[in-house]
Amino acid sequence: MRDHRACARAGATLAALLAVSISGVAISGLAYGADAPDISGIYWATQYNAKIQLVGGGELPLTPAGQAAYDKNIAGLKDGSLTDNARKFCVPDGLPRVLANPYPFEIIQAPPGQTTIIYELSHQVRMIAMDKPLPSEEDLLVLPFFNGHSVGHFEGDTLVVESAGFKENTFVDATGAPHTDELRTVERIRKVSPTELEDVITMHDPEYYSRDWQARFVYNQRTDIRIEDYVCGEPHRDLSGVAGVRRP
Amino acid sequence: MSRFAKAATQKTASQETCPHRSAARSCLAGGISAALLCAGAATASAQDAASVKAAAPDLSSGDTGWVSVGGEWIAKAGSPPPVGFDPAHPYVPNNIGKQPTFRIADLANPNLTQFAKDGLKKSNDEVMAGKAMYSREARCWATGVPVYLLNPAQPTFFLQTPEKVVMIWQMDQQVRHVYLNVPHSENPEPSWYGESVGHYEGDTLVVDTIAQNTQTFVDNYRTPHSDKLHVVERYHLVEGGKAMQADITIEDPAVFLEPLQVIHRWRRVQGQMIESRCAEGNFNYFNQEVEPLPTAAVPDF
Repeated sequence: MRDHRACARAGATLAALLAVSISGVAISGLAYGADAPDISGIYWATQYNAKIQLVGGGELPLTPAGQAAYDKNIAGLKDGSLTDNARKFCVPDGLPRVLANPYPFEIIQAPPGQTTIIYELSHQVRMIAMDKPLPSEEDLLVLPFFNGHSVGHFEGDTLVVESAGFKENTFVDATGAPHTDELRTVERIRKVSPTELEDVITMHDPEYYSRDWQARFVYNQRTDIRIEDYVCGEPHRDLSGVAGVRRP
Repeated sequence: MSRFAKAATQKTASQETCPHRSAARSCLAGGISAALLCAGAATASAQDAASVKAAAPDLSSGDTGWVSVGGEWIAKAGSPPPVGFDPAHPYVPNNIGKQPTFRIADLANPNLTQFAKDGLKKSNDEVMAGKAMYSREARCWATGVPVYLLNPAQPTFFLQTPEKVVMIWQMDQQVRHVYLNVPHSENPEPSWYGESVGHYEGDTLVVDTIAQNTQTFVDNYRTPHSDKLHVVERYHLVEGGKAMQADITIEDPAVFLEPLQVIHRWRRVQGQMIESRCAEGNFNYFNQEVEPLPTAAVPDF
């Protein structure tokens, strides 16, 4: 009988849950599934580019609307009528700009059912719900996030993260490249060596970009540093180990 | 572990009548300590529960968040009194149907050094002069420890691994890192939240914090502190897992003649963390004289 089997399954699950909790190993390093790849740790780029670099090279494939928005942003940033809120008030950078930033970040595969990414820059936090669908189109529209809503799943050794529901007032990069609130991204995150993590992001925003395009970021895993506190306008860590950073 | 993660999805299972299924749901919602209480409800095939010892508290699974209750330190029996309001200027909080006030501290508190009184008088004078002394976290500043525990209204989320505990306050994503089972560094550089090391003692998470910079306060009255501030927090579940309590020791000989022993509580809520940033839309609508938000006059990079 259907009820019987469900009850038996729930009973077995309860027993397994109790076994896990009683033995005290409920809090485990790989709280998300013992068989999931371990990508946890602290990572730090060694290269910074203010202008986003496309996989395969070349310029951003902007549509006429995209180019107009880009020109508007460049002009506004230049004459001061447009503020770079991410740098002035330390609100989150948005995607993919946060992936390019020259501060370290930490991936924590906890609690169960979640992957959490904590960026030292402006203490931004991305919570990635594992093996769940994205919120509905309506939910994404009424409650957009700077860094979008993210869901993830593993494909072999790769964490695939889909994001949507972005606030439209962030920039794609530090030069002010634009995106709309219809932006959707897919990141493929994996260890490419014992000490390096790669994040390849695919950008899908047809109103501003005539085709999907990708950017690739590689980070060194670090066991010698801790994520530090960050308060807007205060002095922060030495970034001289990151090529391409210019401090005004 | 994957069975634990899978059990988490059973929270939203259909409402079949099944004692084991609802027990599993409420056991999971109640966290690990409730699961121990649920041991009696398990089937005969369950593990032998006779060898139960208190397991580390689960403060994190099932989209659990913790909402702070109250903004004043509650003294434990035997503790010297924490700073309270000046009886000539009673503190009236928001949402009780009266004109709210900003806090004015009682300088006659018998446990304060002159340094503490000087700092409090400075804050009192600013309030008396008409400055809108909203709390530091309302102005988007990191509040340090222990005032982080008083972060109001929005929930605080925990991440727990064998190596560390991370706390994240939803409003402004204020993050604290606690490193487990390691000693303090020799000479840690002062920082906004200091250096926190911790360990589990049975059902309690113990956190020890030093090396905070002196730009924060130790309560909502703006009692200052020195670089000798030392805070110990002991987190444990109460009310069957519906609430969390921290027993806190606040020690700073430059400020308090005797260390404070206070408690604070949170109630459990459930729901995914919502990205929320204090500096967004934080405008001075009523043209009050307010403290500035943390702002970078020059871009960091």
